[in-house]
Amino acid sequence: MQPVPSLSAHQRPSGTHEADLALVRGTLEGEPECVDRFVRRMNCVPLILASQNARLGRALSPVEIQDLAQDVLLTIWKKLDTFAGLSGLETWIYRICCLELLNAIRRQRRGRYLATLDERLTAAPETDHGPDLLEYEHVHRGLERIEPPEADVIRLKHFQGLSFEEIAARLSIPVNTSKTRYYRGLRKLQELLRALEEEER
Amino acid sequence: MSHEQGHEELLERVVAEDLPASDSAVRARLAECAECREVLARMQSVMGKLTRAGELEQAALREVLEQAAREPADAEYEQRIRALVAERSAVQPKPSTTRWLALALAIAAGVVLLGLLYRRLAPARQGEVLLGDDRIVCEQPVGEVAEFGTFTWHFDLPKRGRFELLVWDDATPEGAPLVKRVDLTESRCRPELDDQRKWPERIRWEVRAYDAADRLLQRSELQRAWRSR
Repeated sequence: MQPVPSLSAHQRPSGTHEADLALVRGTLEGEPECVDRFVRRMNCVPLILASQNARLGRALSPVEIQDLAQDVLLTIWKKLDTFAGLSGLETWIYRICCLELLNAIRRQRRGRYLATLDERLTAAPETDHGPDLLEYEHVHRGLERIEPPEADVIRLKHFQGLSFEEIAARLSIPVNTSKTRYYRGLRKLQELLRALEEEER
Repeated sequence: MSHEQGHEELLERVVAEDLPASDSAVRARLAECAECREVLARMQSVMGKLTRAGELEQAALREVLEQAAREPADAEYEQRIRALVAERSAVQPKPSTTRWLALALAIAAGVVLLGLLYRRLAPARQGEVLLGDDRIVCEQPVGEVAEFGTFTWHFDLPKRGRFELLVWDDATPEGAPLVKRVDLTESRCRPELDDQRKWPERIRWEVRAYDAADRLLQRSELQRAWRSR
């Protein structure tokens, strides 16, 4: 896979993650200006679900995606007070959308027939993004299960593309601590990913 | 220095980009230690997965943001979001609410609090579990304690559900948790005592319950505890 350059500043709707955190807090407090901006930013939810569903060979119908968009909206709303501003708002939303989409597909397939999503995903041709998305899901489920200080360093390193020096500055910790947390986190994540992959078999 | 400690330290330096894998000391270690080779290969595999996941996320986000800039917003969806925000605002009135309403709410809150207090104390006194209760009832540690010790609570967890326990330093409202245990199936958890001794004097904690599909069912109220001096 070719490296993908980072999103440029104008593509990140509000610039810094601190601004996103302030926006979320303002929205939770019902500040009208924040609510307006938040509503506009949340329009990415149906788009993310539709685009990822298309990557998975349109596993869900347009109506099912519309319903899921409502469910995801509620999930995001319930979790909104846990948004810590370590990533951009859309990045945070994207992760929730992907995990909820995969869950919805699994639920739907359980209802219809016995073939699992994972069989379909892993059997998908190389041009299909199924295996990538499944790996993406495993990585995030694994990160949710390790200690937050270690998971934060890993996320900042691989999903925000920060150096250890930048991570240390962002988290107000010594550089060596960021490296140690990264190493410990990777060791735990590696065990969790192995367990998740065995579960899927 | 033991072999175990020595090879972990070297691997950490490689993974943390302090030493290239081509460094002579690293190559010598890898040549003589099969365990080092295996651990490094597994770590590099995980780093590869993380890098691919990061690239997938960035590429997908770029696509979505470009699409969002091109397409008009879904008015119905916007309305739904506004309704959610309005519901929350209705639950949390602004200070401009008239005085009599604030007084009525304060009285109502007092009654509810008394009810909650009664429900919380009653089972603790009788040693009963609140079967069928839809709230998470935290038991200990709460208030002043000699040691934080074992964290206990009550909740009827559905089959294949799980609890999460989160503990924070009470002095840092925005800080990362001191402890986050995510796969608890029993309504108790005892973080390592050695770790507890390093905790600050005052903590706050909460418990979250999830069902088998990893949907959040309940969050407990935030509890505070502090060590007696």
